[in-house]
Amino acid sequence: MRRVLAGCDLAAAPAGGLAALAVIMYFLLSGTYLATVFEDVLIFAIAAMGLDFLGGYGGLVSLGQAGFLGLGAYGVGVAETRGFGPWAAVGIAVGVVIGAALVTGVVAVRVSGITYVIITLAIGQILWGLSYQWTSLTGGDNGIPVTTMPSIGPFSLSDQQTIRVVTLIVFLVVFGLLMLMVRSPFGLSLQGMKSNERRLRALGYQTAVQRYLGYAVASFFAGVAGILYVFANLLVSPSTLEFSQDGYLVLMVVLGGLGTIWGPVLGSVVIVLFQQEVSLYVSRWQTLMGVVFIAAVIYTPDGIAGLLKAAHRVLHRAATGAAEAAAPREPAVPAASGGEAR
Amino acid sequence: MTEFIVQTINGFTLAGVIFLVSSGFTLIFGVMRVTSLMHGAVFLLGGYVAYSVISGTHHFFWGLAAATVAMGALGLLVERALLPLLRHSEMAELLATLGLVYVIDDVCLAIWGGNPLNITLPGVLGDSSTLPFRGIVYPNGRFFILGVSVAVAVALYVLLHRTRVGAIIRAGVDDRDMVSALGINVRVVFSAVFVLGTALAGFAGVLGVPVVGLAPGNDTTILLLALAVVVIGGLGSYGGAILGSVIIALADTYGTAYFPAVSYSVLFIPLVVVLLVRPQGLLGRRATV
Repeated sequence: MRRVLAGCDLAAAPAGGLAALAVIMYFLLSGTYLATVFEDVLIFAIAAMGLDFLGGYGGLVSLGQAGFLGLGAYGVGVAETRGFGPWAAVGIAVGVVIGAALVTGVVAVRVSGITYVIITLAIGQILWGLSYQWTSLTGGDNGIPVTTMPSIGPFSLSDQQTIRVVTLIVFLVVFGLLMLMVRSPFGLSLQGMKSNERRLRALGYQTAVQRYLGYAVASFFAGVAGILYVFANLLVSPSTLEFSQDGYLVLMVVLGGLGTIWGPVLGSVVIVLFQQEVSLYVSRWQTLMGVVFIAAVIYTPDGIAGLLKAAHRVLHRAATGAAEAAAPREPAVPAASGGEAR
Repeated sequence: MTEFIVQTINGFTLAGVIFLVSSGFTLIFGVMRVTSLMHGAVFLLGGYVAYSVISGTHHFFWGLAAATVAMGALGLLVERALLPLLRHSEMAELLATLGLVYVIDDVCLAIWGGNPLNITLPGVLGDSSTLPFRGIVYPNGRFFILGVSVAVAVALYVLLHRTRVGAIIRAGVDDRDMVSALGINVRVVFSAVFVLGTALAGFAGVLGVPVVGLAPGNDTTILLLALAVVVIGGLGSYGGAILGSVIIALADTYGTAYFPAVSYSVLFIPLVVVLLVRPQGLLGRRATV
């Protein structure tokens, strides 16, 4: 019994992940309305996971993440209207996002805490202001339509199924990369910075450089999400990077659970469902969402991920407690050598 | 040149409105360490409340008073009912007030709709006069707004620097624990500061209508201007709020007039420069805690 439970514990994460993947695949390829919902969920989840990498692990929550999402999308749109091919446009967008992240990062990493929130908000608003006011480049309020889609051989992103599969693949790659980065020395030092930056500096870590790199990583993934966004929606406009969008991304991360890479994915599901599903039935869905969010900040500071972890702990304790009650005389054997119990 | 003079006066009236908002914001931050992201939304709601009261009573000053009192009451509600649930976590307070932005904006949209509204100033304030130089014609209302802002600034200065309450508030900015240890009821001080801050935002929301209009989305603009002001002037610094308001308002007005393609983005250049050169703000002190 105990061995089963221990095995169950080890297998739970991958099994849960696979089950979630199967559900996502089913809806994504179903061709129904929900397919577009899940496409959006994945795209925003990519940006939200990037935000969480620096926010949850490094303690630096950005209110300008939508700015970089918009920058990636506008990079593609502007390049295409200037006559570049779709692949060149993607390359240009990536270059612009990285360039902007490296430039703005110099300012952003000088501060932390609340001032960091404010300065990233300002950076996001600078980008919004450019998208709205620099009409000769961006088309102003009307935005930029994207008409040519990248393709390789028989696969073209103009096909809805193809772009959904590509979005899923990019999502999984980003998810995997971030999981690896969180466990890497880089990710660990970010977490160390969050709990005690002074000590890390005393140990010889270049904390400013770490922060700078973390900022670049977070912004880069927002840009990647933006590139997918523009190919999925065929249009980018200033509303993509306005203040409320910055807020939505923070809502996703906080509601899902800061400091877990999968938490923001759940947060993204909830917020996108609010925007696209709840809004169909409740006209004041924004009020409802705001109230839900405030309640979450008050009652579950660790978000949905925290709730699930707590539920898991309770269930686990109940299950092991029951097992111990059933076999009270069994000596305490480590799970690894528990094979004889069979 | 005439154009430049008009823009400069415009800049100073805008500075007055921004000062009213950001002085409240900076007081709340300075004393309570609460980053109230709902400050812009309170500004907008204040304007809407005044609009409805003025439509009913046909008296501008009833609207101004009602908006100020109502927003002060909202502040009291938030400070007494919401903030105590947030475990004194700065980030939780910031996030909860961000959630309130969505709620307040949505409520405003439900009640007052999405079209821009307007409030006209009463009597002679609604007219324009010809200035004694260069024959510039300028609305009286804007001078009134500027004058009221200066009067409020002076009153706040007297309150902060010449009264016992002000001394307690300033001491609270510097060292909260010490104030508490001296037997002063910090809870009451906190409530008073939060109410004062939101009431100022509501007051500014009414006076700001002739300057920035009354429409959804204004709340974000005003919040960002206020944030820029307090970062430039120094978080928690009253003098910094005055200086920052003038810098930001002039940058915004000249930018809109002379570089319309980048005016909004140019606004944040002073902010970036200050952060690079003097991260604690022009008149801010380095955190001692």
